[in-house]
Amino acid sequence: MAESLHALVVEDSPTMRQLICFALRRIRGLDVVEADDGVDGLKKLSGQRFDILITDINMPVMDGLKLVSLVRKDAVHKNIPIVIITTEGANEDRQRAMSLGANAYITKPIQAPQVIACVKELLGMKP
Amino acid sequence: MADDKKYGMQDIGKGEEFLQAFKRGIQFTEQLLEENERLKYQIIRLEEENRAIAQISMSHQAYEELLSKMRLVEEEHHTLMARYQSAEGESKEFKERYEEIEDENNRLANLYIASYQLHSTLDLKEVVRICFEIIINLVGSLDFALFIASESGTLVPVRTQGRALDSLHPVPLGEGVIGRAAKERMLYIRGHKRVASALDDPMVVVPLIVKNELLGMFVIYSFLTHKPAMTDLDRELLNLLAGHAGTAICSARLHLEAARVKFEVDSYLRALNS
Repeated sequence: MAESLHALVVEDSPTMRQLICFALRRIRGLDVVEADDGVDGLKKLSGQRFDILITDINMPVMDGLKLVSLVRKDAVHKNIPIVIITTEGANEDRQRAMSLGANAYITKPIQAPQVIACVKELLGMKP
Repeated sequence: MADDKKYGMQDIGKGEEFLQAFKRGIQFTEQLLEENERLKYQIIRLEEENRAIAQISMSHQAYEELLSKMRLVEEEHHTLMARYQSAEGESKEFKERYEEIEDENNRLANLYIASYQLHSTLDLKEVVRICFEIIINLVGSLDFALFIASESGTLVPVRTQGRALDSLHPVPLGEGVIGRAAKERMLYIRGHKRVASALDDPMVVVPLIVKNELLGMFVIYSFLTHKPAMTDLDRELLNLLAGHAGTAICSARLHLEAARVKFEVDSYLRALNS
């Protein structure tokens, strides 16, 4: 059996986090770990190797932009695909995140098929 | 002597003629022999062809067998084609069914998450925050408000998203779109125009009902611009909010009130057995 891939979801809103994790857990062979904010995300990234990171931008303690820039400097995770979750009208944040090294973005309200398709594509999985 | 010579010359002439005729005879004979050879070769070739034809005609039975095999193969081909088409149809049907199940799964997931989150706390502030999260993240709006029904029946704005609280005014029950939806306790969805609406012409009004009592309402003024249209799932989420958000807010409020009263085991027993 193939080894599992690991996804880290960093989102402060429990509703959104539950929704994203629910979608991702439907991808066979993908193990999903949750984090409440950027700091919690970094802590989890230092504890294990992840294959993809999905993060919100607006979060308390440490926002998604800071997290993206720190992950891109991390020796282990500098090449990890990053998906950011943005709200409508947050074009500046979205552009900033993309320029910091995010690979894709999903705009709220999110739909499970959209999340699944985006993550599968970045992980090189069959659609 | 002269005669002898004359006869001698004649004999020579005749001899020459005979020789020429003989030579022609030889040539003719040679031509005949060549023709004979050619014909013999042709006969051999024709005999060979004949034998081949004879062989074919001799295997007439094999030919028939081959023909029947061809028919069988053709029938099999048709059967396989029919089965392939049927399997293709089935596959298409399965794909459609799978997509339907996927949609249903997503719909149920959204409803489950919304319901789960609404009842995950008894903290009033947290319940309202969750309601707002549901409208922002699941329904898709950044322009809405929560109104609470006062004892006099007027609907008072208490919290907003995307608008200043003081930009909204209390709405008397039964007045305008919002007041009428509240009075009728019916979910209101504006059927036309997707553009941002005026305060008295919102996109959606969600009355929050607890045991047929109006607790308050969510008024959605506009949806996110990239949201293509209201879906069935949106309607279900709004209906869920109408039922469960009211209960969740009411429970949180009662919990807040009950926190001031000591509710011992005896009180539970009295309440449950009464």
